[in-house]
Amino acid sequence: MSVKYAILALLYQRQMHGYELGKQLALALKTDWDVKPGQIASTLARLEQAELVEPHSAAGDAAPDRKIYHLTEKGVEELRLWYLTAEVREYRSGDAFYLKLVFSLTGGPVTPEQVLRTQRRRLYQELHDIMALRRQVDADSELPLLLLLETVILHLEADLRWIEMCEGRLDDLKRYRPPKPQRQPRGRPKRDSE
Amino acid sequence: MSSIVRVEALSKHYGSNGVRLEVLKGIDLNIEEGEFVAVMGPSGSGKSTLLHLIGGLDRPSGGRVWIKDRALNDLDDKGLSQLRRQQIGFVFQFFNLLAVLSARENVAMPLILDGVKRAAALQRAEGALEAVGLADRKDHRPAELSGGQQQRVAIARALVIKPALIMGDEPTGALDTRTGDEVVNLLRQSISQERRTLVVVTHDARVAAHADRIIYLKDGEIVDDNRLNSGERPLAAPVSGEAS
Repeated sequence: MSVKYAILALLYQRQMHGYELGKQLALALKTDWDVKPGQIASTLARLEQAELVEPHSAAGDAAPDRKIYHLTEKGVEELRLWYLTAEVREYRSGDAFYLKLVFSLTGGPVTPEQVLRTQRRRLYQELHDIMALRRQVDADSELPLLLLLETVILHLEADLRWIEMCEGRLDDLKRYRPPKPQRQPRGRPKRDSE
Repeated sequence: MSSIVRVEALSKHYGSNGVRLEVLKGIDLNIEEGEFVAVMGPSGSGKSTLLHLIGGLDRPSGGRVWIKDRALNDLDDKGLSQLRRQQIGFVFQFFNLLAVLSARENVAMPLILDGVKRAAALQRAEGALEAVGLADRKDHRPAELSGGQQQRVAIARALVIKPALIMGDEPTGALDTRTGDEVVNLLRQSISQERRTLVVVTHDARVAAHADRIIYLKDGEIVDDNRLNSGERPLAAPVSGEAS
């Protein structure tokens, strides 16, 4: 999520000035997603330039953080498009842990068991911390935060299950040998017919 | 800190005449007073067997177990069941409540077995049910309660004897996630208030993540002993957003 769309989403609900936007962002998300006032101001300036928001300052009161912003029609359209664009989750085929596991299978200074154990310890520590946080969250007044934590928990659980699966099949995995790279014929490819 | 459970070279095998199944192969383990320990591992790794041996529900083939400096090996069956009744509260996957008894009578049962007068036992059972939030269900039979409620009755039954040690064998295995969370939280609270020790066998990462320490078994051996840090700090943040 980007500051840009968070601002558009909030301004759709009601017009606000920059300072208020900052407070609303913090309230809505209640995470450490730390948005600096300067960042809000610069984003607002860019949004204004793109004609997605429009300020109207109260008479005589021209301090930039007192400008009250509202969405333009173009801004509403941009926001609608954002809402209705599905988010693509990034999968981890290229991530460092996967690489460690795969390379350790065919020989390294540590065993794949050590690689899996190290990662599992880390994941459990994360899950432990999240669970501690979750216990402090009030299910009624902080439901959005609770749901945010749940998605983190479920992803950690999935990662842990995957590690379990790898451990369960470690003997098979150790027999795995990567295919030999095919020798590419050099030079210009021959044409079959002309 | 002092150990409440001490296990030395503990082994268990079944079968004879060449067909020998080694379930536990020489486990050494210390569990400190006040710890919440999760025991994990694939099925067949020996985790339930370990729990049963520590809890005195079964006898080892080799090695020794101490609970609070009492050597279980030296106790006869009568001594063992007395130790269980007085020191160890058990919580099982399928609750193991007696169907013909009310919640209150189920909870009172270990006290009555230990010689407490029925009226006094029932009164203490009511207190224990109240502590797990089931005061208004005391006259219900297990079949009239939900799974989560039945497990809470079982927890009250485990707690009513004021045990030093609580042992759970997949205590959330028959419950949905949300109810399971409630049950684990209840178990956690019950130990942190009274400085009890909790040992739970589970395959559920979510349950294990509540623990202070996770022990992994594989093929009858401990392959990892993972102590989790619980800082005062309730964690920085689950999410870090990118700017702009």
